[in-house]
This record gives sequence, C-alpha cells and structure tokens, in this order.
Amino acid sequence: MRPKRYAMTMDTKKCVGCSACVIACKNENQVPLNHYRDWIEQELSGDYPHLFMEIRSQRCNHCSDPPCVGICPTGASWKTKDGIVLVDKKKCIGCKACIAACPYDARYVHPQGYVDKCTFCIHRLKSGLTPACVEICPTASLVFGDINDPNSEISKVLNAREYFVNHVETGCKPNLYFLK
Amino acid sequence: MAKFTRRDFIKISGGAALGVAGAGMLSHWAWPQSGVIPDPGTTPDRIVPSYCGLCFWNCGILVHVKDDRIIKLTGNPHHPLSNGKLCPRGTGGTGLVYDPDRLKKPMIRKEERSRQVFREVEWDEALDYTAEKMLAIKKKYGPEAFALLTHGSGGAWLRQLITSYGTANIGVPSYALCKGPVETGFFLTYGANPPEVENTDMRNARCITLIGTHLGENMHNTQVQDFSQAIGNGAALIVVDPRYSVAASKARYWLPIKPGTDTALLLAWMNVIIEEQLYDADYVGKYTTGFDELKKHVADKNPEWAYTRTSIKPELIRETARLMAAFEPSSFIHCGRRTTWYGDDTQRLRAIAMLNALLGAWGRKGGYYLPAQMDLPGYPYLKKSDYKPKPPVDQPKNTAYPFAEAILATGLRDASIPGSAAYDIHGWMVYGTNPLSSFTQPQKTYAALQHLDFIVSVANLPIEIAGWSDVVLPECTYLERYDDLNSPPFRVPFAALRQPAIAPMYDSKPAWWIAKQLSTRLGLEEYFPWQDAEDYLRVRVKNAALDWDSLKKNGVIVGETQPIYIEDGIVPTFDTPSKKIELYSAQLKAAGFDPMPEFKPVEEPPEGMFRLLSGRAPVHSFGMTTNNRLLGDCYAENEVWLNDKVCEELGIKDKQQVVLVNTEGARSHPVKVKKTRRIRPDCVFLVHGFGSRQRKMEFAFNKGASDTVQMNKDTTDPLIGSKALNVNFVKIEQEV
Amino acid sequence: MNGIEFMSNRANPGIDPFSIWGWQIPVYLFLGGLVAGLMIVASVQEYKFSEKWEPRLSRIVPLLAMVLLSLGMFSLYLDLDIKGLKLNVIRLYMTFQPTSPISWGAWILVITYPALALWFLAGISPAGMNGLAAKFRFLRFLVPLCDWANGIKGKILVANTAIGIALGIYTGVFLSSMASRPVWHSGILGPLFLISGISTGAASLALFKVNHDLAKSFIKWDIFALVTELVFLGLFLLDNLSGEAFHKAAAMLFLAGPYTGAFFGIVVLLGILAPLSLEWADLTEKGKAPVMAAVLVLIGSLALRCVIVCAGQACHCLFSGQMFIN
Ligand SMILES: Nc1nc2c(c(=O)[nH]1)N[C@H]1C(S)=C(S)[C@@H](COP(=O)(O)OP(=O)(O)OC[C@H]3O[C@@H](n4cnc5c(=O)[nH]c(N)nc54)[C@H](O)[C@@H]3O)O[C@H]1N2
Ligand SMILES: Nc1nc2c(c(=O)[nH]1)N[C@H]1C(S)=C(S)[C@@H](COP(=O)(O)OP(=O)(O)OC[C@H]3O[C@@H](n4cnc5c(=O)[nH]c(N)nc54)[C@H](O)[C@@H]3O)O[C@H]1N2
Ligand code: SF4
Ligand code: SF4
Ligand code: SF4
Ligand code: SF4
Ligand code: SF4
Ligand SMILES: [Mo]
Repeated sequence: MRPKRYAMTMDTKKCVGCSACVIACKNENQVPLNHYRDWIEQELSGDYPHLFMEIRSQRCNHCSDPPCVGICPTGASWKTKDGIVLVDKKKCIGCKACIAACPYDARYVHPQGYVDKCTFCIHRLKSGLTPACVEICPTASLVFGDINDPNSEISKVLNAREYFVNHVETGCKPNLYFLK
Repeated sequence: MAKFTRRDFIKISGGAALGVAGAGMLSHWAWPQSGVIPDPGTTPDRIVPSYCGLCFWNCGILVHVKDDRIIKLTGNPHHPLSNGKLCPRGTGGTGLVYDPDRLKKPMIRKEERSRQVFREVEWDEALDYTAEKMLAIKKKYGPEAFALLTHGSGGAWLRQLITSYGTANIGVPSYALCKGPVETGFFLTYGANPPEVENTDMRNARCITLIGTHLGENMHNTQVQDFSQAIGNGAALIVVDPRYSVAASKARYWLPIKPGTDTALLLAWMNVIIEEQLYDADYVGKYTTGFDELKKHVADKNPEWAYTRTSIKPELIRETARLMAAFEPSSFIHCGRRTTWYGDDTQRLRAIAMLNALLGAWGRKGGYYLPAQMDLPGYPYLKKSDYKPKPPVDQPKNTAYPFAEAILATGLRDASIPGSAAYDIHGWMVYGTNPLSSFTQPQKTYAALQHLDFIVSVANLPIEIAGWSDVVLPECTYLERYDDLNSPPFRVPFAALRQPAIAPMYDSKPAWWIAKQLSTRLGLEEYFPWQDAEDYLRVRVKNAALDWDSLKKNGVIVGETQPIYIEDGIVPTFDTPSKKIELYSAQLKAAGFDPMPEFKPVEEPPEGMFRLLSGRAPVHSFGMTTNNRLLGDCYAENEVWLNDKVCEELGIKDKQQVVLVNTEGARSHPVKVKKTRRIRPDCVFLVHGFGSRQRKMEFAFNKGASDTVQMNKDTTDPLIGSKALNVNFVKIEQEV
Repeated sequence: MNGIEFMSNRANPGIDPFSIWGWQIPVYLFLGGLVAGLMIVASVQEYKFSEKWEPRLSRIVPLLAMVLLSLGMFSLYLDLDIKGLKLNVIRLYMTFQPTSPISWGAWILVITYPALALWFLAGISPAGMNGLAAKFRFLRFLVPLCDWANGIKGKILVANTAIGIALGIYTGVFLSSMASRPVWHSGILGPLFLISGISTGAASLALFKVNHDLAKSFIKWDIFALVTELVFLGLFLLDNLSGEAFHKAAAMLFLAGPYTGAFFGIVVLLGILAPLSLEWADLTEKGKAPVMAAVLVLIGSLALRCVIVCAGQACHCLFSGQMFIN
C-alpha cells in the first residue's frame, strides 16, 4: 500500500474569513493567547470599484520537502511517514532555525519554551476525527485527507477544482492547496 | 514550474561551500521520521449538548468538558441550525466562561449612581433589597412604572416575573434598533414576517441579492453555511453596499451605492422588471394585489432616474435586474435584519418585499421557504393575574407609530425621562442588554439613568449598565444553566434544550433562580409553580409528548420534515387585509402613509464630514464579546474605515490614531484608521461594540471607538417608531 | 493598478513582525568568523612563511581563538528560547543531523577546540613542556601530547586552516540555507562571511607587536580580504538583482531602502574602504594606524552581520511575489 500523504484544501471562494478555524484550533490545541497555529489573510487588489479580494485560512503546509525539518539540528522537527511535520518539544532547543527556514512563518515559539506549529491535529486522526479547524468551519471551506488515496474527498476536490499553492519558488512542495 | 536559473548562478560561488551546503540537498532518507506524537490533552471526559448563547441565533452546541472544565465547543451535528459547525463567536464561548472579569458576587451601590462604587453582598441581601425597591415603586407609582429591558433567552424567566408583577412595559432592543422595519415591512406586504431565523432559502437559490446584509461578517451560522453553499453551487450574487463587504468580494456584481438611496434602486429594478415583463406573471396574478398601481407608480422610475440618486450606472441596474429575473423564482432579495438605517426603513423593506413578490420568491424553493415550527405548548401557568396593567408607555405623548408590532425599547427609555410620555417610568430591570452601547441617542439614555429611582441589572460581566445600576445580580453564563426551550420557525421543526455543562462559577446564579427567588420576595410565588428549571422544562417537554431523556442526551429533537414550498403543494395564505400580497397597501394609505414606497432623499453629509455606518466583525457579537480575550485574539479593537483617496487628501496614514467628532460635537475614543479602497469616499465604517469605558472590563476597556457615542440624531421611522442608525455624520480629527 | 491591501490577523510574537533573532546571532556569526579568520591567516602564515613567524603567536592565537569561540557559543546559547536552565542545549550533541547546517556547525565547533588545543601545544617546545610539567605535576600528561603535536605540526596547521575555512563558510551557510528569506538565500553568503572573517582575523593579528615583515604580511592579508569582500558584496547584490521579484526587492533593501545607510555607510565605507586606505598607507609607508584600521574592520564586519541578519528578517515574501517589509 502506498503511504498516506495528508494534505488540506482551502476554498478561497467559499471562505468568509470568519476565524472560526483559528478559535477552534486555539481551544483544541491549547494554543496560548496571542499565538497562532492558523490565521486568516485577506488580500485585496484592483482599483475601486473593480476590486478583488482573496481570503485564505493559513497554517503549516506540511511540506513534502520541509526546510524546517532539514534545518533542525536536534531532530526535534520531524516528519511522519504520512507526511505530517511535527515538533518533538522535548528535543527542541529553541534555536529558531526552523522558524527562519519556514517560508510561511507557520511556526512560533511557545511561551513554555519550545517551537510549536500546526500538527494537522494528529491526535484526533487516530480516533477518526478531522482536524478541529476542518470540523468547525461553517462554510466547509476546509477539506483534509490523504491525497494518495484517489477515493478520498480531498483527491476528488483536487481533481474537480483549479488550485494553487504558496511559495512554489522555495521548492518545499507544500501540501496546503488553495482552491480558486 | 519554479525557475532555478538564479540557483545555477549561485552554484558558481556557493557550490564550493563544502558538504555543509550540500547537506541541504540531501533528501528524505535523512529526515528524522520518529518522535513523540503531540497530544494537547483536550479529549473530553464528557460532552454536554446545549444551545449557544453568544448571539440570538441559538445554534446547537456540544460542550466538551474535561475535569469539570469546559475545554472546547463544537457544533451539534444533530441540530439543524448548526449542522455540526459553529461561527467563531460560538466557538469562543470558553473565553466568556473563563473571563477573569466576570461578575462574581451580587453588588449593591454604595455612593451616588454616577460614581459606580459598590459593595459585595450575599444573595439574600441583594434580593431583599431589590424586592423592597420594586415594591416601593409599585406602591408609589403603580407597577407600570417599572420596566424590563431584556434581550436573550434567559429573559423569559424575568418576563414571567415582571408580567405577574403587573407591568406591560417589557422591551427588547431587537425591534426598535434592529428588525422592526423588516418585520413590519414584510408583514404589511405578506401578512407574515421573516422569523428570527430568516426564512431565506439561500442554499437552493440561483441568484441572491443583498442590500447591506453583510453575510460573512454578519455571522449567523446557518445563514452563512447556506450562503457559502450557494456560492459553491455557483449562484449569482448581487451585493448592494457602499462598502466592499466580504459578501461583495464574492459577488458577480458589487453596486457601491450612495448610502441611503436603496429605495430608488429597488424602484428602478421594479421598473425594469415590469417594463421588460420579466416578473413571474402567474405568481403575481395569483397572489398579489395592486400590480397595476405599482406599474404606474414605477413607470417613471427608470434606471436613468435612479442613477442620479444612487450613483449606480443605468446599464448596471438593467443588467442586475435581468440577472435576478433570469433565475426566478429561485432568486430573491434578502430581507436583511438590522434594517434600522435612515428612518424611512419600513417603506424600503416594503420595496424589498414587493420586488421579491415580482420574482415570485415568497414561498418558493430558492426564495423564501414557508417555515415549519414544532407544536410546543407553553408552560401551563394556572394563575393568571386579574390586574389589567396600563397600556405600555413606549410611544411618546403626541405621536403614535400605528404599525409598531412590538414595544419600543427606546420608547421605554424615553419614557424614563420625566414628562416625555403618558406616564413616567421610575424603575428598570435590565437583562442581557447594554443600553449604553446598543441604544441610539446616548444623551437620552444618560438622562434616563439620572432620573430613575431604581435600576437592577442581571449580567455576567461588569458592563456599562451594571456600573449605572443600584443592584447588580451576577448571572452565570449560558454554559452553566438551564433556559427555556428553543423552537423557532425553521425549515424543519425542532426543539432544543439549553442545559448546564458545569456548575455555575463563583457566586453566580441562573436567571430562572433569580426570577423564582424574587417572586417569593415580591409575593408572586403563585405565578411560579415549578420547583426549578428542570421541573419546568420536564413539564413542557412532557406536554409536547417529547422524550426528556432523549432531549437531554441529544440536546435537540427534530420533528418530521414538512412541506415548506408552494411547489410542495402548500397553498400560501397571506394575513393582510386583502388576504393577498399587497403591492399596494390600502391600510398604509388609510393611515396617511404612502401606499407604495417613494424615494425620499436623505440628508447629505455636511462639507468635510462623512456618514457613519456600522456593522459587524465576524468574531464579535455587539459589545458582548469585546472583553472575550480568546475572540480578541482575532480582532481586539475596531478601526475606522476610511477611503484611501480621502486619506491621501487629508494626509492620514494607515493605522493613524484619530478622533471622530459628530455634528453635535460628540467625540469618539481615539481609534486607528483603516485606510482602504473598500469603502466609498462619502462614508466611514466602524464595527459596533467597541470603545468600552467600563474600567472593570479590563480587556475591552478603551479599545477602539464606540459608534453609539456618535449616534445622537433622533430620526424615527414614522410607521413603527424604530430608530435610524445611519444618519449621523462625523469629521476626522487628527490631533489625538 | 494599485498595490495590494493585505490583512492578516496573525500576531505571533517574534514573527509578526519577524524578528526572532536579536543581537546574539550576529555576534555569534561575527565571533565565529573572527575565529575562522584567525585560524586561517595565522596557520597559513606559520605553515607557509615560517621564516618570519613569531612562535609566541602559536600560543596566543589558539588561546584567543578558544576564548572568542566560547564567547560566540555563549551568545548563541543566550538566544535559545528554552525555559529554565537551557540544559536542553545538550540535545545538539546527542545527534548529528546531516541536513542541518547548525548541526554541522555545532560539530565543527567541537572539532575546532581540539584543533586549536593541539596548535597551542605544538607552539610549546617539548623542552618547555618538560619544564612546565616539572613545576606543575598535574600537567605531566601533556608531555607526550606535546611531543606528538610538535611532531605533526604541519598537519595541525593544515587542519586548522581547513577547519577555519569550514567554520567561516558555515557562518554564512547558517543563513544562506534558508530559501524562505530572500536576502539570505544567496550562495555568496558563505564565501562572503568567510572572507569577511579572514579580514577581521588579519586585522586583529596586525595588532600584535611583531617583526616588520610579519606585520606587513598581515596587512597584505587584510587588504586582499577587504578587496575580495568588496567584490563579493557586489556579487551578493548582483545575485539578488538577477533573481525573481522578491530577490530584487531584497537587493533594493540595501540599494535604496531602510538598510542603505547602514550598508554603505558602516559596512562599505567605514568597515572596508576606510581601513583599506589606512592599510594601503601603512603598506606604502605613508602612515601608520593599525589599531584604527583593525577597529574599523571589526566594526564593519559586525555591522555586516547585523545588517544581513536584520534585513533577512525584515523581509519575507507573499506567495503572489510581493515582498513584505515589516
Ligand atoms: N458576527 C456577528 N454577526 C451578527 C451579529 C453580531 O453581533 N456579530 N449580530 C446579528 C444581528 S442581531 C444582526 S441585526 C445582524 C446585523 O447584520 P446585517 O443585517 O447584515 O446588518 P446591515 O446593517 O444590513 O449590514 C451592514 C452593512 O450594510 C452596509 N450599509 C450601510 N449603509 C447602507 C446603505 O445605505 N445601503 C446599503 N445597501 N448598504 C448599507 C454597511 O456597509 C455594512 O456592510 O447581524 C447578526 N449577525
Ligand atoms: N450603535 C449601534 N447600536 C446598535 C447596533 C449597531 O450596529 N450599532 N445594532 C443593533 C442591533 S442589530 C441589536 S440586535 C441590538 C443588540 O443590543 P443588545 O442586546 O443590547 O447588545 P449588547 O450591547 O451586546 O448587550 C448585551 C449584553 O448582554 C450581556 N449578556 C450576554 N450574555 C448574557 C447572559 O447570559 N446573561 C446576562 N444576564 N447577560 C448577558 C452582555 O454582557 C452584553 O453586555 O443593538 C442595536 N444597537
Ligand atoms: S472557519 Fe472556514 S470560513 Fe471561517 S475563516 Fe476558517 S476557513 Fe474561512
Ligand atoms: S510550512 Fe513551514 S513549518 Fe510547515 S512543513 Fe513547511 S516549512 Fe515546515
Ligand atoms: S527551534 Fe527546536 S525544532 Fe526548531 S530547529 Fe531548533 S531545535 Fe529544531
Ligand atoms: S489542523 Fe489542527 S493544528 Fe492545524 S490549524 Fe487546524 S486545528 Fe490547528
Ligand atoms: S451564530 Fe454563532 S454565536 Fe450565534 S448562536 Fe450560532 S454559534 Fe452561537
Ligand atoms: Mo440585531
């Protein structure tokens, strides 16, 4: 069997930028106040009145070639066989190299003294739950799943829709797909 | 594909960088593939279903509790309002329960009212004192001199208390300051109003037109779910808004209308749809009356006429009219909710209702469904008061608002200023509303507060009105109490339960307990035959032939699906005088009003001033969440939206602090500018609910600016007495 | 068309705006470079031109390098964001991560110490060592080591040169390995930091009172290094200018942006051109200001690292090719 490759799609057409995904993540993962594992971006272009706005819910891209893992000197940053990039907080020495190496600024220093980031809610996956942000999203803009499984919902979404990823130029092969 | 040409260039110099650089190119095998799987430890040990209380939509929630601490809130998948999903506010309810600024003990005022000095007391003392004061008012002026201002589910218990005490003066802010125009505008037209959960069938719509109604910022959960589903289905969207709202960013057409001119646009749309015979002729013929009058009425109101008023180009008006008609009847104009804009609002809502009728949308799939509701008898109170209270005093002495369908909360406020109304109000009980933040004409609210003999607030945070009260009773939050069943009209009938997930924290108590306690002290115990809320609820559930245990376990009981569309065979009825949809309203004519909406120009902003508009941020409910630190993480203070070109003319930079000053000289708190292309140059926009001046709200205190402070103008809808919010003008002062 | 209006509700401390590394990292990189420079210049000089070498330096330089290196590592240690005693730092040495420049660096630092120690021992004559061991008995174990070191002195010097080069390049690769930061992501950074380290090493060595020839050699080293540094700085800018939009924007940070003053004023003018002219004067016997020149070189080199570390953190790219400057 092929290994899993977990990924997420984010529908920029349907998302209203409400931040429910941010709040849900904070509760689920005990993210401290003023710290964020996921966040909302709004990007406005064009001239009044011909404006265009894209809304994105952002988080770690669980890159296939994660520079944050490559650069970590202690092995604290690691990648599961299923493609989820994690931090083993006991091994982390807080050097922040991974933070600097991440093109998405997806990591932060936890006040308790280690680097933290989105885990794709890996603790929920084993009980068959979807990530907290996916579960809460009132517009169903987030889909999570295994893109190596052609029958998964996410594979179907990616087949059906046009999408893009962020920062291709860094070559880290991100796994957060934005639906156009 | 990424270009790596530059990288090649680098290799000339950098390639020499030993194995160190080369190491970066090593691939997967070198990555550590083992480690500890993180677990934040938020798996609950029990899950309690209930319904949300962070706004009035009442979505079904699951309360996840671990070691008697609420750790997270998710949507109840069985509840038809949430479908397992929540809006950010509902998700962030934990930030309310564990708000360190919560009221912890009853308090009685020590010094004069404006000084806001209190002493903490035990419940007995607070309740005795409250009852004593209420009895004194009853004795001195009669029970009518006491008013209840209330908003939200817990108010039901106090309503029972205050009604049995003997007054009809019970007001909710959601009529005069919110939905009055839409309720009555639609009622005058269809003989029915859009219910609390608006009956728009967005999920099946193929074309949606929004007049204001900033869905996506206005975060009513089910509605946003349906809205995004429609977008996902490719529904066409037309958004009319002077601001490029989130909804506008999803729209095929954004019409940045000149504020206050929507009626002109609506009339021109009707003109096009009638002239070009695009209306649903069958529907109009079958269900409406007054079509010919309407046709005549709009004959001269063509898009060119509207252009000079609305600034929307005639061809755009035509295109959008044709677009919405192309999809009828699965095309509708959203009725809106907070429709208290300019004072002529009920007529504007009539225009919206009428245009919907032309599209044949009311009662149709993809238009407005005809809601179903669970048959849920009220509690069988046996004792009914023989006391006939005086009629409510919410309308001023010499004016009447003949079409008002509810008691005007602002009117009760005004009647508390001596001499303004048929009789004076001398005491207030305030529950779940904060008049200092949500009532326009703050000058009148302050005047009332100065004259009242007695004010008791039931609140869970030290909000402004609590500071002005004589007694403050700390209520526990919605997650720590029972409340009455929720069973609104909806696309499926259902009944939902609110139940405590944890015991009340501190010395806070639920409203039902407070009501019951006060009833004994006021000698009204016969009106409260139940032991406690659970007892009350069990009786109601039993009388409705529902199963209490399953309700407790699932939080909701969903009834049988019923037909909700004319297509399903429902024969619609219209509770109007003519029993038809009244395009022409004879009753309005008879009462001396326009039988069909006329466009009336609104006052223009004076030179150098901007119209102040207000609205919502998705993570906040009015002023009731601005102290919620968790939600504050996503939006901690509001900013004043100002057109970028205007900023450049005025030399104002993005994020610069400014003060807003209105025509009456009222000054706002310092607030940051959001310099943006997303708003017209003639208006500014503030998210409502910020700028708290209540020190004890430590997080919200002094964050952002209050829009209410600027809303001094008293513009009233002549039909229903609702207050206009969009009629105030501000200038921007740069020295702070 | 107007630019982009960007809004984000993220506000992670140290990330928004991006400033995860304070003074500690430039200082660490600076001291690392200085040590590398000392090792390279002194060991090459001793190995290749032993006739004018002053043996005293073979003892002073390694000791000095060890002290500076320790200060540098302490600076890095201060930067670590771990709670409490920061004992977790030991994790650096419980593993070797081949893909991590920092891991390489950590281990390079570890072999640097013994290399420097051996150099130091090789700088003591066996006779001298015997004398010392007689006085301080606990030093007796060093006698055979000293003999051995003296025997392989040449190899030790070659090793020190090699390690110095690795160390010097590492200080640049530390930053340049990150594709995430356009300013840093330039292959020139390794050689640039190496050469800048060499210039600081040479300038510091020129401060020692040594014979005229040796002193002149150090000055020549420095002139060579400073000129090369200038060329590399040019390449660094060119490299960025030849890249995609946000690399161009990164170059503009130095050419016409918030860092222009510091870059041209302190790094180029004060830190390179000024000492170059002083040293040129020195070399051509028109003046003498080795202290002044050395101080300027050190300031310039520290400033270079500060500017690059800061500018690298100040910019990150939006996916749409827009660069964001905090
Ligand atoms: N997150 C969140 N959601 C909420 C609430 C909340 O507190 N927080 N409250 C709920 C309640 S009770 C209500 S009543 C609703 C209120 O929300 P809505 O009913 O959507 O309120 P509106 O006033 O229609 O919408 C405000 C929009 O109208 C635009 N507008 C202002 N003036 C004009 C005008 O003259 N013409 C036109 N066409 N548009 C104009 C503004 O620019 C703004 O975008 O939200 C509900 N949803
Ligand atoms: N300036 C301005 N004024 C407005 C609006 C606007 O947009 N701008 N919007 C209008 C609209 S649409 C509406 S619906 C009204 C809403 O008006 P209100 O209902 O008065 O809204 P809030 O000001 O949030 O006041 C509600 C208060 O109830 C308290 N509360 C919350 N939960 C509980 C509880 O469980 N128990 C008790 N006892 N108290 C609780 C909160 O702390 C909060 O202070 O405001 C209207 N007024
Ligand atoms: S919860 Fe969904 S709709 Fe809301 S911001 Fe997140 S992704 Fe967008
Ligand atoms: S997004 Fe950043 S943190 Fe996540 S895997 Fe990629 S590089 Fe690492
Ligand atoms: S901060 Fe922690 S996780 Fe990040 S690179 Fe350093 S040790 Fe690894
Ligand atoms: S997947 Fe989990 S950890 Fe990642 S952003 Fe969503 S909720 Fe947070
Ligand atoms: S819309 Fe949001 S705040 Fe309102 S009841 Fe539903 S979840 Fe709660
Ligand atoms: Mo409202």
